[in-house]
Amino acid sequence: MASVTTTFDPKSLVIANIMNAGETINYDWSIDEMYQIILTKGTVIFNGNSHEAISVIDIPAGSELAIEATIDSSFLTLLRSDNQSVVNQIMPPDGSYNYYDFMQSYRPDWYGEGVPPIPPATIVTGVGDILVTSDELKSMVLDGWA
Amino acid sequence: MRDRTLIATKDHVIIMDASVGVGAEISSIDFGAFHSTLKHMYSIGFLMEGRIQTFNGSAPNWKKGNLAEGPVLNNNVNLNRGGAAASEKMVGFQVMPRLGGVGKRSTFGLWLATKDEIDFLMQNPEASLTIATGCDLNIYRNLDTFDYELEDETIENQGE
Repeated sequence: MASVTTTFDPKSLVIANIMNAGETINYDWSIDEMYQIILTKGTVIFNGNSHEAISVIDIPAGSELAIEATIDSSFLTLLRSDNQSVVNQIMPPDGSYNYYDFMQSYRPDWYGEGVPPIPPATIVTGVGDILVTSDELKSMVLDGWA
Repeated sequence: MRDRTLIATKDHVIIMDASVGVGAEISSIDFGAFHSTLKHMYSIGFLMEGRIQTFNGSAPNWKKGNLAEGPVLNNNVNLNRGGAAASEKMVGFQVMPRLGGVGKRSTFGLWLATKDEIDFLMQNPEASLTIATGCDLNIYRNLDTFDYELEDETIENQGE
């Protein structure tokens, strides 16, 4: 069972991706600059090359991510929530929501002295190939801590 | 015992912690009276395997926080906080922004970096680099009070 979840603070947007052997996680979005993932467990195939944990993998500008696990694996997608251009490419503003502004201004009660709830509520799961869409990321960002 | 590896990526600094033994301290930050003058310390955690009991506040009056079980993604914003392993084995990662960190040894564990490593990261802003590995910590916490507890091995070593 593959699962994907995300969380953010005013500096970082991190996506946790967990896969069983043979499963593939795909993103339906790309950005116009290179970003990186860190393979935290296992072995994956990206762009025809095999990578073993622990390693940092560059995702080229304009590339929609597609990662296949050859054994049970997990990786973190590392993005900056304070980069407005990047956020707007991943989650374009729609209706009354501007996701960059939302992440910059988000200050729940547990910032400071409180204790955050765990885990984030919204998780995308699936078996086999799963696609993480921009709309699903928007939902996770808006509702993840609800 | 906790083993720590630091990795600098293009935009972030990653701390990887792996521990053995229930109660092994993963991290502990206590700014005490200086807390109110400092800003938030943004850190996103990914507990990949095992369990962590978090604590908040300030010694000697730590307050029990969450008991997290991996795999789980979590936010760590509070300045005064810590975590101890609540399972025999634990593997976790902390993601922190690289901006503002590189070049400042006092920030986010980059005290482990050498001057050459910091110079390299400052001159190569998109470079990735494993800064340090094997930063062992052999401290154990009581998971209710968060007081320090000594392991037998530590006691024996003190007598040598």
